[in-house]
Amino acid sequence: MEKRRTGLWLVACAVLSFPAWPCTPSGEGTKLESARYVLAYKTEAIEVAKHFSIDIAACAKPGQPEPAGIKVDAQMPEHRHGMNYAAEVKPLGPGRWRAEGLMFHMPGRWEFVFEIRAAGVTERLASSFQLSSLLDFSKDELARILQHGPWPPPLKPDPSNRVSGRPEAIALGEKLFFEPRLSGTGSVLCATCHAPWRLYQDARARAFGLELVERNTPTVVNVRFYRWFGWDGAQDSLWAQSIRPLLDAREMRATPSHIAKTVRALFPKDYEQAFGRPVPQNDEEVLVDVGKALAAFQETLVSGRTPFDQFRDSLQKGGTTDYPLAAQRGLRIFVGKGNCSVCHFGPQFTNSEFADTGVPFFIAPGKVDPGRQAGIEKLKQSPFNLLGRYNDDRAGASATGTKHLQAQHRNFGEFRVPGLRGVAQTAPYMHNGSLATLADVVRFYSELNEERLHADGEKILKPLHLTPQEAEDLRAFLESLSAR
Amino acid sequence: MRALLALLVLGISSGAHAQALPIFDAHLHYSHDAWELVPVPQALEILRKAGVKRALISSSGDEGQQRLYQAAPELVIPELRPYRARADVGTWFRDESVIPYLEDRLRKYKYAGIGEFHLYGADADLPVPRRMVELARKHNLFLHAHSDVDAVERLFRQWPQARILWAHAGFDRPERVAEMLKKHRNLWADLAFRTDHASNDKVDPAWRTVFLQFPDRFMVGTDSYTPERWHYVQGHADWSRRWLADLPREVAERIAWKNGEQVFGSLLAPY
Repeated sequence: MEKRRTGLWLVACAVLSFPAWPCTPSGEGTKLESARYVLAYKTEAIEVAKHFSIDIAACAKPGQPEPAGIKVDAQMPEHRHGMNYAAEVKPLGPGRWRAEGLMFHMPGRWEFVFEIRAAGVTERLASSFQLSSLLDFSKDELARILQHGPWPPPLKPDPSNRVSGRPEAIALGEKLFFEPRLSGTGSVLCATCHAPWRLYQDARARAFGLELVERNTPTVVNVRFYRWFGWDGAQDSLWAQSIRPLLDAREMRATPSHIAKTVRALFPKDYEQAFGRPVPQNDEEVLVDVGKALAAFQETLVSGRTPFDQFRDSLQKGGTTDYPLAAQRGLRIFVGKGNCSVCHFGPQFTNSEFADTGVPFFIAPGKVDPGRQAGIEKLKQSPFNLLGRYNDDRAGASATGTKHLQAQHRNFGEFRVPGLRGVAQTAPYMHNGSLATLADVVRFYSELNEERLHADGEKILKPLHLTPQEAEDLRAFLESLSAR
Repeated sequence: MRALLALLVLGISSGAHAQALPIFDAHLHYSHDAWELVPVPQALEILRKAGVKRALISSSGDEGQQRLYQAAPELVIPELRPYRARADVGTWFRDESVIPYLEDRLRKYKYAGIGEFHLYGADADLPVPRRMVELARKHNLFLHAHSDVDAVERLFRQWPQARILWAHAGFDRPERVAEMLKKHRNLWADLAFRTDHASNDKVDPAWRTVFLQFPDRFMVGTDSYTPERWHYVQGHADWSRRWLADLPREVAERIAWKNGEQVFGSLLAPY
């Protein structure tokens, strides 16, 4: 009984594998058979929302009339709808046609329907086609995609800040972040520019604390992951960066003595709980500790998981995904021909370094923002850099980058490569807020002005010449980097 | 004590010298996008304020440096670039319309050289660069080549008596630069957009050897490839003075300005 079953199975396989077609269509591809005809069709690679064409060949079985014409359509049986476009069929020769203008606008199971007309009779053949919801990423693409996670990464305390991660310091930092009396005028607070409901930025092209400045307010969400701080990297720690706007006359216009006086008057207990000592008499020490408490609070601002993270993890585990195909195609550009991921690298989507991508940096007639070049000089001269006395990292490893930093000519006009998490919520863009929307940013790189780049500069910077669909896909991917 | 005093005197002298060192900037551009953003009076003021004694300037299109030259012939030495716009950088060597353009400009204006042009490897032997070299020969002009070793060699093969200013010293290693300078006595090198020869105001040992071996063959240059970089002329001059102060005075002076003045200064009589 067992043997007979096996034998029958083998015979069935042979019939299925090697059908004896009663006629041979003059084209390659998937073959279908009806009572009177044999049809073969071959498609281009089909992607969601992209037009494609099909080459079709059909022949009549012996004794049947030759096909006079053919009609092609497609539908989604489970969805009870067809395509949004009507295919146009053009004859290519006897028994051969090409159908153009088809488009599957969503993933899932589609059914091709071919209607062969001959001698006043129409005969219907159908064939299923599963349109995948996952692009066929190459091994190399997969490796690059996986580098952008996992998220969130492990959170390590900042060794240069002795109160990093300490709850009492975080609590003090939060109070200080929202305290207007820290400013010299008593009228602005950190949150004036870093507004929580705007992902801790201000949605302005250029920041305005007490006066208009030259640069855009970056979000402080995920700021803990940077190596350098500020668009020019003039600070090498988050606590030093937190001091800078306090003292800037155009931002918060405070002095060390004003800061110290305010802490002594308003937060003596909070300070003592956070730092384990009374507020010291030395104003500069208090100022630095205010920076460290502010940093401890900002370290808690880590963005949530995003649709991209879900997709990235499902790719790693080999699971299913509902990540939109447009975002997948945009991701493919991001890690592929766009070369975006070379600088916007890793889980934070930044290498935490600086680049000149050709963004103009005049700030007024006869005046430029030298960016990183001046940032390095400022950093080297800062009493608050990690080579100085306020670095709590006794091992000194945290100061390695600062110690070895060297200015180069190319630094003139370089600005920080920003992380891209939450990027859809942080318009406008670039160091000077000169691009209003994500679409503008994509267009900027698509039409990159090579004339502004040095002939021996970064070779990956080339105009991407994206099609409108590609630009839209890249934007869709960037939007998927925001937490739901 | 005497030794200490002597050292102090030397130090003061060296510092004063570094402050006063004039600069011959051998690598500047004043291209179409700079004309409005950095108007001629402002560009000249930048040069003078930075202590630039003279400057070798080219532009895309050529009108830019002519404007500067007419306003300050004592300061500006024009070069003719084979580019009508900077976008020509990657196509000019196959563009036959470049030659009539060069011929037309050479008929109308005075130049010390043709360049800076970008040319690599076998492209140097294409018809357009060959014709450009012939024009340089006819008008007795320098070639300012942003090129690799291969292209420089090809240019010399076409015109063995050519005088070439090698832009950025080819971004090549000091040892290779030394080989080329030894092989071609009509080759000079500008150090524009390089920082590998000096770190923290100290000259790299390998480069020091080359500078001391060929003190009369190097020049400094800012490379203002965008309008904004005109505002780096001062910063670049200051930076150059700092690292040059690490070299013997005579060598520093040669690289800072004397070589440029000696090689290019006499090529053009002011209007």
